[in-house]
Amino acid sequence: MGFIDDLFQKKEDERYKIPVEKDFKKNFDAIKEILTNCDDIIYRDFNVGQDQKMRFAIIYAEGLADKNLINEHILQNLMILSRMANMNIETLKQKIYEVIKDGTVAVTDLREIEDVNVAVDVILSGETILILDKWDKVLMIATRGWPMRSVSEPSTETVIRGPSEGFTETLRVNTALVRRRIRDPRLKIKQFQIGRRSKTDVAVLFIDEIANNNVLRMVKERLDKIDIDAILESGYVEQLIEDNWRSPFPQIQNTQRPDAVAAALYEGRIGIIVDNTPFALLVPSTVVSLLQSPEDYYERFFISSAVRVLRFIAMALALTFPSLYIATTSFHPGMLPTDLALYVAGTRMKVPFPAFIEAFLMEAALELLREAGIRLPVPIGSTIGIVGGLVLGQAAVQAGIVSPLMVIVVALTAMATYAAPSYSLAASFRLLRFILMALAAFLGLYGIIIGLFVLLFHMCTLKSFGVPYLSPFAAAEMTLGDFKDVFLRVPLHMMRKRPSYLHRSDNDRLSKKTADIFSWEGDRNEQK
Amino acid sequence: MNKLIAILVSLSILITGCWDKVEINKRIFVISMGIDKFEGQQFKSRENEIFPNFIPDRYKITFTYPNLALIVGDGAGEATHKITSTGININDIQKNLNTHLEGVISFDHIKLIVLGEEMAKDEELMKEVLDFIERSPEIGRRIHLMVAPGEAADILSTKLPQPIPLGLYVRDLMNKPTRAARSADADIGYILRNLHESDAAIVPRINSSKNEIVVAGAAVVKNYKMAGWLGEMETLYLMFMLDKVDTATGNVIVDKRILPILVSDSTTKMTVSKKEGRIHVAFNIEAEGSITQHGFALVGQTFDPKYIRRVEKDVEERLEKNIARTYKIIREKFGADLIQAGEYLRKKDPKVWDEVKDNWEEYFTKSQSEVNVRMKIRRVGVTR
Repeated sequence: MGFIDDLFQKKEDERYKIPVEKDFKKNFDAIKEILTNCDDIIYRDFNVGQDQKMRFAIIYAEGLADKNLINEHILQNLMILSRMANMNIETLKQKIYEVIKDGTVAVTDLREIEDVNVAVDVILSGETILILDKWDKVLMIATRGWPMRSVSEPSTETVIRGPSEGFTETLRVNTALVRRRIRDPRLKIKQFQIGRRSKTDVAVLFIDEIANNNVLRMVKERLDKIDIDAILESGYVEQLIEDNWRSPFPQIQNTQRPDAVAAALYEGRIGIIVDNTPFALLVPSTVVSLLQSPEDYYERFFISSAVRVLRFIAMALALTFPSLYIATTSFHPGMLPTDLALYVAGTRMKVPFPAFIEAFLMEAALELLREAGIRLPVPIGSTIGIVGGLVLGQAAVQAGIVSPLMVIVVALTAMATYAAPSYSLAASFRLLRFILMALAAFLGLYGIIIGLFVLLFHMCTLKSFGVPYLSPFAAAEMTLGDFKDVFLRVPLHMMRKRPSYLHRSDNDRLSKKTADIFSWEGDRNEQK
Repeated sequence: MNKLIAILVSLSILITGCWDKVEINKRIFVISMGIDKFEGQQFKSRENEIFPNFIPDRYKITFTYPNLALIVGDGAGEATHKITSTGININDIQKNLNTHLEGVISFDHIKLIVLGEEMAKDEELMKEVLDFIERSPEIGRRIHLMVAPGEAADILSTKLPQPIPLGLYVRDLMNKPTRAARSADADIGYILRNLHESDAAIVPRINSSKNEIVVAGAAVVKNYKMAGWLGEMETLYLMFMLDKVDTATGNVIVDKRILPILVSDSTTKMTVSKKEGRIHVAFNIEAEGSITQHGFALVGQTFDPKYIRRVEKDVEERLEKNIARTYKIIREKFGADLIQAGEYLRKKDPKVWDEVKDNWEEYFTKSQSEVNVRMKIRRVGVTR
């Protein structure tokens, strides 16, 4: 425990501290001065007590704080119900603050604050500040509550079998969604703020004993180094903490699915949830983890394994198919079966472009179509699909600008690309495809092989938070067990250990007892 | 240092590789090639007078390449275009044709090379052509080399009933699973290997009538030139010796009734040994087959094991006799080790081979043969 406490200890606030004073007016004005010209801040001062002599004030940001809660459980209690308090006035005066704190404000979370700057911060997070007369502290009352999107199906990574809950834009809801899947006190959620001005909440989630301390330290150190004015999306964090910004490959997985985060945490990985975005980050990531979908574990292993294999083939296609077309048609027609070669030659007879230009045009058109389809509103988006896909493709082929085979190649490549569960990985593959196409146009198959080799070299050197990106293929020590979950997904009862590349202390996923049920011996015993 | 590495890497990329980029539709895929000996009138040009040391043309070569428009279904005319030219050698003709054709001639998809009979009988030309084929990186080893009686150009002019390039037609004909064993099963790889190993090979014979192609029989090539023809039946029995029979049909006469027998599975084990100073070649053939036709309303006979055994015996005797006769022809008439007996000895019995290799042709010509056939009729059809 000491390690985590050390790692996440509170830093001293470097700003100049403005202490809260005993004078009600001074405190009130100090806050008002910092928040000057912020018209969404509501100030409400009022008198409390039977004789109305005590001056109180609450300050909150409209829209961020729950107004009903303030009205019913703070103002009503303080202004109306407190008058009926039938208490010895003398003791009341002495203990007024304790009474209010412990007996009057009917809200779950209260905190005493001694710094005006901190008070302003909490107001801007949606809490309410209660200033009391003649007290050298102000009271923070947890009143966060703003209109938010309800938990709905994630727009990416949809699955057929599996929960349809997705993260929302509110951090607390997101951590709750994960917590619901891990009722283990060892699930730690450490929260801090990043961004000088945005002060965005960032939560680091991990399961103690399963997560690797080195990775955890790396995450924390890198997060600490971020000194930026604002974090608007987890993409900011991702780009600021990733290992190699020059690499075309995403080194941090992002997901909208709480079950994916929970599964990753159980594997010993670490989740980073950023406020205001439904995309959580998972580190460390390997190329294999980016090619897996949560559904792989929900379906029976035959189907999952088949899908895995299909996915690997799809990735190979997505990366190389157009470049193979260019290389074979321009350099090595002898590699095609004769009948196909003659057919290709025949269809390309009237095509006015070399294969590279043809492929480049079509791939560029596809990218355009995709980009246009995303940006446009949904009803027009489908029109673009029809115009671009059907009309343009058909017309191009009929006009003889491109060969029909090219259209098939492009369409197949597009489908293969989007078979990747990770959009980021698919995007990097799309980019690399163009480079391979250029190499193929220059050097034929030789160029493709050179390109793939360079890519492989690069991937071998790449690491994500100390874990080789190509694990388990390129791990320092090869562990056969890790291959149970790469090309195939072996039945769950055979996956007794967690993946080994993370080097954690607790490695057992499935107890031997459960695994034994599936052995023949267990079967026979049951029959007796 | 980094600069040096960058230069080395870019050099190694840029000075190697495939810089022969030609779009697929700018290539002319020669599908079949006919090679004939050219003995006609030499074309006397002004240049030949200026350069009196010119080498006369020796080859007449016919290329056919497919009509691509027809293949993709929007064109008319012949399935293939044909072009003929004469020259000193094949490379010379290829260069010559570059002045005729808009595309780059490519042998990547050549499927058939036909040699004219006269050409095949000329040892010098034959050696040149075989070397050209073997040396070319474009010509595959699974394509077919055939010899035509008469001119190869005539074969390439055959108008097939379907609009298919001749080379593809022959490829399909030779590669179908129920190929008749009457045509020699030998592709270029097999022929070249046999010629290297035992100086003798069989080359399928291709023949054409007006709009028909027949691949049957074989030419015997010995000492790098054609030595003579083997007929269809001779070829069939040679294929039995070589264990290259997929299917074969034969007729037997049992009880004065002619029965067609379909041999559907046959394996041959050849053993070569030296006995009493002579080479002894034994063929042990195990064949399976079926009776495809019997007399109508003759109930029960085909279910009688004794009767079937008689049929089998007849098949065995006929095969044994005919194979032995064919062996005799190969041995005596051609003296060509087509069955690769020498190669067998070299691999299995090197001591004997060392004794006989210097006079191998003489040993082979005087060799003995022994044929044992075991026929098993497995199927008699659906009626009794």
